[in-house]
Amino acid sequence: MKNTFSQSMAWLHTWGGLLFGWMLFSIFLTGALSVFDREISYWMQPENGNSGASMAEAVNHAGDYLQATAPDSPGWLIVPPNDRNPGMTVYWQEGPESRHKALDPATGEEVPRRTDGGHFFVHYHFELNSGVIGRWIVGAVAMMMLVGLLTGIVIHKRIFKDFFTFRPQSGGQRSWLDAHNALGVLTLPFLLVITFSGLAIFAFMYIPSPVKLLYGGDSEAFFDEAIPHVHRQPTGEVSELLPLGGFAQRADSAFGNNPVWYLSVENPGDRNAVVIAGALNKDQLTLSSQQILFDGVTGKVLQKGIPLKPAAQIQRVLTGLHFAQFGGYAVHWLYFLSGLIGALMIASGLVLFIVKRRRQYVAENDVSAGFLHLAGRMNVAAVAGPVLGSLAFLWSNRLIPIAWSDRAGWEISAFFAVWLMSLVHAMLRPQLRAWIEQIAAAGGLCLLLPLLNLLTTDQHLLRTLPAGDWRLAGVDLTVLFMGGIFIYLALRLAARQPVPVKAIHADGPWEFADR
Amino acid sequence: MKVLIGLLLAYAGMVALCLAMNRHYRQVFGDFPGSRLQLGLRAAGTLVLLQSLAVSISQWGWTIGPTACFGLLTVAALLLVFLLPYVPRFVLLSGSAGLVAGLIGTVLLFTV
Repeated sequence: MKNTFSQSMAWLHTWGGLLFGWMLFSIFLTGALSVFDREISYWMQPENGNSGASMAEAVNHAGDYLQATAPDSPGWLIVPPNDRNPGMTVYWQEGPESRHKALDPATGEEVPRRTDGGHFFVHYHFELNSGVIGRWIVGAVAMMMLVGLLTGIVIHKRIFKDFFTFRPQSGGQRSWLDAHNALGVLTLPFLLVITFSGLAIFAFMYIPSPVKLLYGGDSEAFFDEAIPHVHRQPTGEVSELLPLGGFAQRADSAFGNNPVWYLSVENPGDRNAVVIAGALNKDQLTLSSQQILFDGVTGKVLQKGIPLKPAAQIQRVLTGLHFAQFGGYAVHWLYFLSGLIGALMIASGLVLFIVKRRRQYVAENDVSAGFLHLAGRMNVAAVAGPVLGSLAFLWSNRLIPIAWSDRAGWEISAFFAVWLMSLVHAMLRPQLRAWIEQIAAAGGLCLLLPLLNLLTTDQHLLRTLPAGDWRLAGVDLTVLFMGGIFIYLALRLAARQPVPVKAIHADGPWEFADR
Repeated sequence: MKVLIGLLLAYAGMVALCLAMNRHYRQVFGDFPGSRLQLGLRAAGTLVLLQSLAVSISQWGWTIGPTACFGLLTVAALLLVFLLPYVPRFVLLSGSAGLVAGLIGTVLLFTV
């Protein structure tokens, strides 16, 4: 079966696509949601909308909180409120662990509705929410995505001839292949860039040997040379840190149109404390090349900007292309749509695997009937599962009592638990029924979420629409729109009469003739 | 506003390139295009796509503009691909309307 070059490419595309596609769909879905992580975080802590504190006040509160909570930590990081999310998050290093808390910008107290917010989707899409192991798994899956794209280009052969081709009236395999091709080819620039840049972000982790070889494994020396910046060791001598709000203000006026993205403090409380302010670049591809380093005790500017070498600059541009912080909401929406289209391309490929083989005689198939049965069910769980899980994540944010101590963890558990339920359901039900029921369930959860929001918070559509707060209203409206699509899909599928298996076999093998 | 004009032009350009192909011309008109018409559609489509790129660059600048333009082209082309088999006449109509609106929009952008 693998005699020629393109046959082996097709084999790799088919099997790599199927086995890794089960994971890739969820990564593309959560990656697309990550584009709007700030808006989702705001939606999941709608109480933050009422604060109205200035950035300097908010950052001062954050500094006080960190001083009281983690005075001995080697490093703090503050993400102050911005025009996309009025909430504030502080991070600090505690031994090997990084901890974080969402703070009320007006009071500096912990926000009672504890949640990981949109960050959960970010963390899932690059490390499956499970640290270094997850990062390696996502790296392998992303590598396979790249292989899938390249093998797809090789085996397609008619990229330009079929550029605009979609033949739904042909039915079955032909239509699914057309859809898979169109979705893949027309988003190809995005898919190549997002996959490659995703790998490039962690290049030093995935390919550690160059640093080992050239720097003797001293990765700090490597990063110091790649990103030259003032580096100070703690002296052990205690000195009081200047109020952080002042640094934020100075950085804000220095950055011009670009807002302050983060403020980090190295060696807080030490005489050698360094405060670093980074800008969120909206007018260039490079992610945060504007940085100012201050002496935390005297307030003196230590360094302005980072003189990046070409290689480091290229890596930064790739990172920037992946993070997509530039260009405003129009670009965010294009990334969001492209990500969802990528997810649909993967889903159509998964379905195609089944459709192609279901119509053949069992004896002619390259897989057993049992495997086909299992793969069909895995498809349902891999596609509908993460959609349902993400919705469950949003639902649980409104349903879990605010007083629960580990409510942030419970929200994440809801995501995985509902995904698991989707798998069990898919295994127990006939395949078409499983698709219909799970898509309908997703539709129901989508359409009812704004209602739940109305019943449980005061930041619902009836308030956010008249107030013109599109950051919150956008989440509700997008979910409503998706719900409409899911219900339409479920109705379309339900209206279709499942073809009895015997009749298919009487038809003879599926003919491959191109019409 | 420029984003919308860029999208309309991307769509119109894609419609022209699509109609320049025998298979799709037949979907809309029922017969085949003459070779001169085909060439004209191809040239017009290319020019309109370049104009869309120019609008994107004027909106976002030289680095972000081309990047965002790829996104607009993707969305426009997918819209076209999934409309064409269901409402072929509407594609022709919306493509022409998009072209007119996009051209007027561009003229207004660079004169007013």
